[in-house]
Amino acid sequence: MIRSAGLLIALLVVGCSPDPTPAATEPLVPEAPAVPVVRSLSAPVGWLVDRLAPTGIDHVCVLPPDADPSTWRPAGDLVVELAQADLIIANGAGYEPWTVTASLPSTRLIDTSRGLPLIEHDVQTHSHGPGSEEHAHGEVDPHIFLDPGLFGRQATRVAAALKTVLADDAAVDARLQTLQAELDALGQEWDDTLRPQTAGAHRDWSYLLARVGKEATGSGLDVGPLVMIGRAGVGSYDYLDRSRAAIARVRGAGSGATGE
Amino acid sequence: MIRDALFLAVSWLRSTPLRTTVLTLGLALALGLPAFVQQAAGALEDALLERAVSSPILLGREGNEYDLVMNALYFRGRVRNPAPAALLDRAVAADYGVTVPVHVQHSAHGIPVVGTGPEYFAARGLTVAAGRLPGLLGEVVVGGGVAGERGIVPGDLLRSDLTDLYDLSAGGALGLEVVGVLAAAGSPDDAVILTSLETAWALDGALHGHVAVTEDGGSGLVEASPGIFLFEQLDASTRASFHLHGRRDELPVGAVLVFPRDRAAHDIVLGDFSVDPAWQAVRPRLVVGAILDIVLRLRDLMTAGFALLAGSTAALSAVILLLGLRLRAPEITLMRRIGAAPGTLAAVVATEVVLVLGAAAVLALALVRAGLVFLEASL
Repeated sequence: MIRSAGLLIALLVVGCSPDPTPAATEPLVPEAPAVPVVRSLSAPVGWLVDRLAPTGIDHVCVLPPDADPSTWRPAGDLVVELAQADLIIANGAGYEPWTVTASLPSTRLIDTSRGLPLIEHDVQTHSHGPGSEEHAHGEVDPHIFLDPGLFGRQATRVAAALKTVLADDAAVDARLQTLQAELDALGQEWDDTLRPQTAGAHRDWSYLLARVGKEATGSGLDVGPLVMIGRAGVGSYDYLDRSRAAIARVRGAGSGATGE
Repeated sequence: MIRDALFLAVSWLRSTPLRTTVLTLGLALALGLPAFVQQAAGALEDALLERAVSSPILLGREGNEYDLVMNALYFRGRVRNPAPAALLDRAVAADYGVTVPVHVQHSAHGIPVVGTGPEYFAARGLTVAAGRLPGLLGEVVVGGGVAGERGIVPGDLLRSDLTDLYDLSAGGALGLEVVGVLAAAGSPDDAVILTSLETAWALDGALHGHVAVTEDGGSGLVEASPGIFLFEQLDASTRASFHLHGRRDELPVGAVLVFPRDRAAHDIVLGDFSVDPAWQAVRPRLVVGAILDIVLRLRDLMTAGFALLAGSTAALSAVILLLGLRLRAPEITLMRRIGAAPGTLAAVVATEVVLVLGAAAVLALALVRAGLVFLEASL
């Protein structure tokens, strides 16, 4: 009431500024710190950051090595600290589900899944009783990084983001080029491995099977070989090594299993 | 002689207290009102324009730009047709600079709840006096002013106000955990609760959590019973179950505040949105300036009125003084007869006038000061 009266009085007694031209010193973005702070939210994208900018940045993957990204939840303090970073690199597509409800800066949160062809699995439809519309919770498959081709596109997004905080663009571009070549070779290995498979596979194989025009049905190939690609676990993490180990396991399993 | 004149003047004034009081009050108002208008005009113009100047560009859906500015900058009223998150995404993708949503549609205990991004605090220069900034769903910080008035401290729980008791699709009252109190900034941010955009969506009902649903006969279609209640309290266990309904880019953000990184980005934002019929890019400084321009005529009218009031009060005071002298004619005649010089009588009258004017001036100054304090508190 008092506030409204004050505003009314304000409007009644105040004149306008004769010069509406914006000042040249309007608020600008604060200057970037000397060492950019980059935080990644899961192991695969964290590896991309390390590969593309191994020096000159303060990079930490906030996901604990033994944590499951689908169930891990950061504390409020960590989220606030995270929000201060210059770049926050996420796999996206629901791989880090806590980001949906956390307060993160939209201008510095890099969702590497944006714009990629995402695969959606079965949805669950429900309503909240009379008066509530029936609705569905779609379930996007977040394991984009399993496909080296899509992972390469994620790498391109990470590189673009890194170049906004790093002075040496050319170095990032050179590392990206090298990485893309390695990912292309890896993709070829996956294609050669999966093309002959004839039985079913767990749906987490969807992105890899889509490379060779197949769909994931059944359970001939379980998720075992794939889990180690997504999670850091103990020891050092190398996406290429983990993927090749998974390929070896599939090949070792003999004529396993995927369905047309 | 001056001492005698002062003695007589004071005695005269004390002998007619009602006349002296009315005269003093009338002159105080005549002096104080124009002074208050001038002082308040400067102070309030600075206060209102400072906020607008510190908010370079505001994006919103095409419509009433005054509603948009008052809602997003001063947290008053509502935007009838709030912009969706797609607008925020577009501005972020364009990389104009710092881009933050401003969602002002809810309140808790009558205090506006502002849903925004973590960049808002740095962009506005807001700092935490106690606790920390909000990070998780349901966490809030309270502006320094309102926290002091209401005695709100970190750890308190605030319950949001119901927006519509009869709208079943609207979000219910939600418990908001106070995790921090901001230092007073002398701006509208002092009088609000600030939280994440996601928490604002939870208050909208679009982002919510509920008990697990059960599938009906393996059909794949799940019909939740009317007995399913939405969570009204957020903690570690319920927070994880919160999910979005519908597409994120269709959820409301109200308005998007853009702090361009440089002058070129500033002009690019205005250019991009000048040709788009769906959206508008508003420069709050111009909008507030336009509002003030409109009321300038009223201010001029008030100034003219106060000038007339001052003139009529001065004339009335002169009449009262002359009438008083006429009423005191026998007294003045007696003073002459006992030897008072004409100069002494003039000094007594002049002293009386000076005393009344002095008292009126002091009272006017007190009134102006009190009025300014009131205005500062109300803004």
